[in-house]
Amino acid sequence: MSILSRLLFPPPPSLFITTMSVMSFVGLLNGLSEVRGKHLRYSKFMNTNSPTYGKEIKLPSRIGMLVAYTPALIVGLASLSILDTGGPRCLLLNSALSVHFFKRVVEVLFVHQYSGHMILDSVIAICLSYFISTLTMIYAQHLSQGMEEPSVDLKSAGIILFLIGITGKTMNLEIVKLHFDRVWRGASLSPWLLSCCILAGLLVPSLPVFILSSLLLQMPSVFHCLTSPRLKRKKPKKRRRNPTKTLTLNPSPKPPPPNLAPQVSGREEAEEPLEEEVEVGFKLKPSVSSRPLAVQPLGNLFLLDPCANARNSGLGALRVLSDELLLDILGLLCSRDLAVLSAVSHSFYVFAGHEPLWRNLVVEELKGDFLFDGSWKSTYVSGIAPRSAPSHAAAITIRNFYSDYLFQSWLCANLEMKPEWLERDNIERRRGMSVEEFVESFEEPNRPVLLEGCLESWPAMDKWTREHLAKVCGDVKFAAGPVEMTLERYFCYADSAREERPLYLFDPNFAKKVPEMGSDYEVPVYFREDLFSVLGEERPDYRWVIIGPAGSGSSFHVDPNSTSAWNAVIKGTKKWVMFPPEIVPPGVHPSPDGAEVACPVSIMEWFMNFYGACKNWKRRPIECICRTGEVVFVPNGWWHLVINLEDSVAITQNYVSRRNLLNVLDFLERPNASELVSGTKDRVNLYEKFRNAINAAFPGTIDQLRQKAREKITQKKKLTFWESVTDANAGGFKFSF
Amino acid sequence: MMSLAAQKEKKIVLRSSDGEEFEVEVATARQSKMISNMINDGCVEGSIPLFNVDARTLAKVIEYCRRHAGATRILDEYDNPNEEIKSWDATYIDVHQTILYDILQAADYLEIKDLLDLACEQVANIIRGKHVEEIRNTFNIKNDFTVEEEKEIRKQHPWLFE
Repeated sequence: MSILSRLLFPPPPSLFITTMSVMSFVGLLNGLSEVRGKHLRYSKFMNTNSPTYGKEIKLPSRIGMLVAYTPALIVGLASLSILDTGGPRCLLLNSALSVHFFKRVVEVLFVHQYSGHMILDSVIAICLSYFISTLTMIYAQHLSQGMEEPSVDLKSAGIILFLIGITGKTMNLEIVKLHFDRVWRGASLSPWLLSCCILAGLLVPSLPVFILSSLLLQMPSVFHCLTSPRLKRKKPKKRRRNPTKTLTLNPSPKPPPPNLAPQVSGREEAEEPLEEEVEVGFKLKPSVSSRPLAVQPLGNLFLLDPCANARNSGLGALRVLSDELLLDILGLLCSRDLAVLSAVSHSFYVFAGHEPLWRNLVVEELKGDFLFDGSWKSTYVSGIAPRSAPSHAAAITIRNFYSDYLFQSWLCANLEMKPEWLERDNIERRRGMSVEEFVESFEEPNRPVLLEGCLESWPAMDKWTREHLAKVCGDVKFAAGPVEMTLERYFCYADSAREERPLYLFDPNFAKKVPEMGSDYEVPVYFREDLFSVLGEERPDYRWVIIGPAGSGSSFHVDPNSTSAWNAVIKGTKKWVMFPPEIVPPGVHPSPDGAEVACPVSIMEWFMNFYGACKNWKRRPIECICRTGEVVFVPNGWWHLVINLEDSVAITQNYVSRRNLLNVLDFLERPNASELVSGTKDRVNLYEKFRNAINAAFPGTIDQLRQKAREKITQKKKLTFWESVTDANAGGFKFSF
Repeated sequence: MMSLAAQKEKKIVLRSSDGEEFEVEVATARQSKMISNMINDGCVEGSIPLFNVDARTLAKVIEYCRRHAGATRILDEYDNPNEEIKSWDATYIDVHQTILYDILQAADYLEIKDLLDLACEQVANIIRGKHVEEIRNTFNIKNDFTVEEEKEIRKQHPWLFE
């Protein structure tokens, strides 16, 4: 069933089409009976001189056939010229029909030689049947406009079959002619040619070709009408008539395959909530109200005239530039120039309205001083010119605009996490573990763990509602990406933000700014040792409050200065993906010196393009969903990605204990420390300062640790020696000293 | 690693999409990050085919790279402010639109960041301060808005038409 549903459009809503499809199916059966030798009485080989037909009105065959074909040809041609062809499918069907009947008429007029007659009754019946079935097909195709395309595209197969049919039939006639010529002259025809001839005759009688090609054009047709009742019984709720916002997209979105992408035809259905999920597709966030500019992926242009892309006609001489370059250039312009550009053409309206451009303008010019209202552009306008009330009238709908870059940007902003990205949960979970066990089983071996039930004593767990936080923090501004803003304004932004990389509130000085926040939580017992504290005020940043809407988060990174970290969720849920230090996550490219990391643009893009890549790896990442009240331990050097699945509030803290002190010292000592060390003003001298401070506070500790590390290494070597001996022992008692 | 002198002498041959060959110094070629990576990977034996750059554009791009490869040395020795090179750049990029777009795309393809920035800035300069109709004329764009849509756009950009 699902195969059929991928191949065909949903059954048509029109009773007329259903009736006609059943009728043409009967016609097909009729065609089959013709193959068996029982001719409808129009066959070119019919013997009209037989006495049975004597009393009926006869027409010369040529005129009869002309009468039979011409109305259908007229319908075909009319559909080509009158109907505004809605898409490639329509155009294909209409031209196929026209070509078919045009060929028929030409054949009747100039190719075939007739000697017989036809019965008027048959002529009328045939004429009507061709006429009506042509009309039905065109009408059905017309109805399917705007419907979701079946996920498997058969257009090209249809074209090929149609071509085979139409040329095959011409050849068939030629072969038949040849055959008769030879027989007539007494020459024997090779059995091969004869069987070819018969086969071709069986395969391409006109009616089946017709129906077959129409089927391949994926019209709601006979078979579908016959099968759809069962379809409906099995999947009562899966059919949607107007799936404009439903998305079926291949996981590799660059470039998206032609027919699996959304055909957005209008904004009228904007209020319709999207509830169901397409089997092989992605789900959009429920709040996605509309496609602001209806940009479509480039693949949708497949089979269309490239001129149909409004992108190019509206760019004039600039059409040669790629989307990326064009947006780079627009990024250099001020708001006035962007606004002027958006009034130039449809295409520039789309480009100059690209939200990230306006986000940059807001961030640069208004800093954190803005009230986000759902779109960066209107936020900018109301921020710059508060008196001129921004109009929220419907944006202009641009059709026929195809761009992979803009489409993907929109897609990443509006996709919901796929369930299969969240399924895997293989982290070790512990509740009520002793500190010794934590050190021995997780901190020493540098392994992640999720700790349950250790935040119960935190006042923050109950207190930190939005209202409370907004009240306590008042006018205090927090760092959110490139800007500083008050919590009230940030929450306002977070509520309506719908973008690929939402601003993420991540402030290292929250406890200094609002001391009450600092006293609403305490470090869990496992992480109490904090050696950086010996540096006093000079210590690098070490604790952050993290607030963000669903979809916000941080892409793959390793925590600074080789520290370990814990992350406690006070509100919300977070999805974690972690890779051990020696395994660089797919799609992530750190520079050789480790100073820079090239990553996919957004977390969503990573999931779409790279999550699947590690599915079959021997060592798969550690993954989990961390819920309210739970803590994730991130061992030093581990790559991790975190994305909020809901509005979240969390506290994270990075720390140095004796278990990772040597790591941190080595890291700070690296020659390019000035580029690598972060979170502090004095990057170069941090190593000296830290080492001296540790030596002063805990004399001999560093030396002890180094000594221990050396012992461990030799112990390991010894162990391997003895292991090898034992192995040899087990292998056959071959002791040899 | 080759000695500096040997590197200076060694030339690299670039072949444009229409088959013309250009012999350039390594330092000039290295202005392109793409070619520089190829040199590092040791795959520049024979000529380097550049399928996306035609001879006219390539000549122009090489002119830029040569000037800038030289400029780095001058700057190092005399510690000049780069006023001189700035004015050279300004004259260099003051070309007809079609050549400008060719240069822009070539700079993108060959990863010559400074040239790309220069060309992008030049296009931005062409757009800056113009009115809607002037922009349409400059880039040969037909107005495809309906009257209603134009009204809507005025509403959306109130401060534009005050």
